Parts: sequence; C-alpha cells; structure tokens
Amino acid sequence: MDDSELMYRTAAGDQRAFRELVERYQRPIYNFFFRSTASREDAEDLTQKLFLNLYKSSGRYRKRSSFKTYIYKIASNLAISFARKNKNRTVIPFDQEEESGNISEELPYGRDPVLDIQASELEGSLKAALVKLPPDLSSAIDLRVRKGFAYREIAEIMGKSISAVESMIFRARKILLVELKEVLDQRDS
Amino acid sequence: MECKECHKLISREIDGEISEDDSKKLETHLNQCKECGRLRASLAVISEVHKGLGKVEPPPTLLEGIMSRIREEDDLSKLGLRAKLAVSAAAVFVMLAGAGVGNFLADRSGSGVNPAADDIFQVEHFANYPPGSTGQLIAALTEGGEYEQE
Repeated sequence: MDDSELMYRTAAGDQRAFRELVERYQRPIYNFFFRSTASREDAEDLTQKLFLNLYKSSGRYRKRSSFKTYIYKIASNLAISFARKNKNRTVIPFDQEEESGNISEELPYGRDPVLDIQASELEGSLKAALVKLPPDLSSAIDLRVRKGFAYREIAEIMGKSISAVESMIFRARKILLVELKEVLDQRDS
Repeated sequence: MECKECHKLISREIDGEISEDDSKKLETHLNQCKECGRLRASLAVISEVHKGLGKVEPPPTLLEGIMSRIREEDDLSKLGLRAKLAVSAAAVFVMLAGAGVGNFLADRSGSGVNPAADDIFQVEHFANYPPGSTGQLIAALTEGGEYEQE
C-alpha cells in the first residue's frame, strides 16, 4: 500500500496504517534531525513531534505531490524552527561510535591507515561544520546530498524558488569548504 | 566565463542539475583555470564524504513511544468531545431555565399576585395564577389540575 493511501486510512482512524508509516519513515527522519542537531535526544524529540503533527493533520492531507516531499516539508520546518530557537546552544560533538557505513569503509582509500585517519578527520570536521551551518542551508544541502531530492522538490519542501535553492546549496558548500580547508589541504599535500 | 559563474555551475554539476550547454561551458573554463579545477575537486570530495556519512539507528523505543502518544492524543480528543457536549447541554439547560423563570416572573407581574418569597416555590401557589399562564401549567403538571390555554 502506498504512503498516501496509509495517510487516508490514518485520517479514517486506522492506527495500524499510521504505525506502518512510522515504521517506514522513522529511520530517515530521525537521521535527518540527528544530522542537523547532533543530538540523539533532540532528534528523538523532533521525530516524535513530527509524527504527532502528522497524525493530527492527517484529515487535512491531500495528495498533491509525493508523500515523501510532504513529510520532509514538515521535517524541514521543524528543524529550522528548532535551530532558530536554540541558536545559542552549545553543540556537543557527534557520538560517532554507533554510526554505521562510515566513509572510510566505503571509499577505495579506506584500507590505507594514513588515508583512513585523514578520511576520519574529514568526516569529523564535516559533521561539526554541518551543525554550524545556518538552519535553512543545512536543510537544503542535506535534502540534496543525503536524501537525494532534486532542486525542484527541495524548492517545494522549503517553499522557495528553484534558483533560491540552488543559491542556498552553493552557499552551504562555500561555508563547508572554508571550514574544511585545513583538513583538505593536509589531505592533498 | 568568469570564475564566479563557474563556481555555481560546479555546484550544479555535482548535484546533477546542470544542462548540457552549461556543462560544455564549464569544461571549457576548467581546462583553462586550475584554481577552479581544484575547487571542483574539493567540493566533489566534500559531497562524497557528506553522502557517505554513517546512519544512526533510532532508539528501539521510538516507534512505541510515538504510538503511545498517538493513543493519548485520541483519548484526549474523545475527552474534549465529551466536554464540548457537556458544555453544550449545560448551555441549553441554562437557556431553558432562564426562559422558564422569565415566563414565571411575567405571569406573576401580570396576575397581580404578589406572594411572599417563601411561597413562590410552593406548588400550591401556582394554582392562583390566571388561566393559560405558566403558573397554571406548573400547577396542572404537578397536582393534576386543569390547564386552560388562552
């Protein structure tokens, strides 16, 4: 059964349909929030909040675009609003030990110990730099690079024009490049 | 093409959002500009590392936590509906009671009867009201008396 059908069933009071939606999306949504907050606790709270909002608004859901776009629209709004409310919060570094599929295992240079260290350093610096990005830029680049949305879809999710999305992603990359310059230079030398 | 324009095209190229024409222009520029070439390499690495960042597993209790909050939400909605119904019923009761008291006072002032306050709530008292009045109706209903409609 497709996601939209599950939403219509949820609106009709079918809690099992909603449970199926939560099972399908809890992992990617939790990761989306974790990448922008760097906190498991905040990611969990925001994920719960998102699904509660989704449930409450199920009666108003109409299939205009894909359900995936719809759910990430709510996620992006929540992430941006959370970041704005907590802009003075001290960011605690990522808890890395439980993450799976790290880049050092996936890239061909992963077997060289020196390159492994450099890759790991790059990952660490990138994670820290991503958390420091302005919330809208962080959402835009995450939706593109990790979630694979096209610019047109990101524009719909974020309520922006395609050229604004293109510009946000480019600005995010420029900031990341400045933050990672030192690590990248070490890697190239 | 200027380097500034080239940088934006590099970002679009990495995202697979570049047109064929722009792609050709970009390649032409990159063949002549080493600085932009280095920038492209760096941005491509960042994007690859970003894409490959590990995924974290949500806590195993998350699903049940969400479903439990959903059930609470449903219970609250039902409770809210009951409260709304109770308030509506109370409002109707107050309106009817108000109308009854209004009629009663109007009857009393029209009949010239001016009983002591203690008598007002005695059922026998209503028999003194004129035919067709609310007082007579109450007397008829409670005592089995006659009620003539005017």
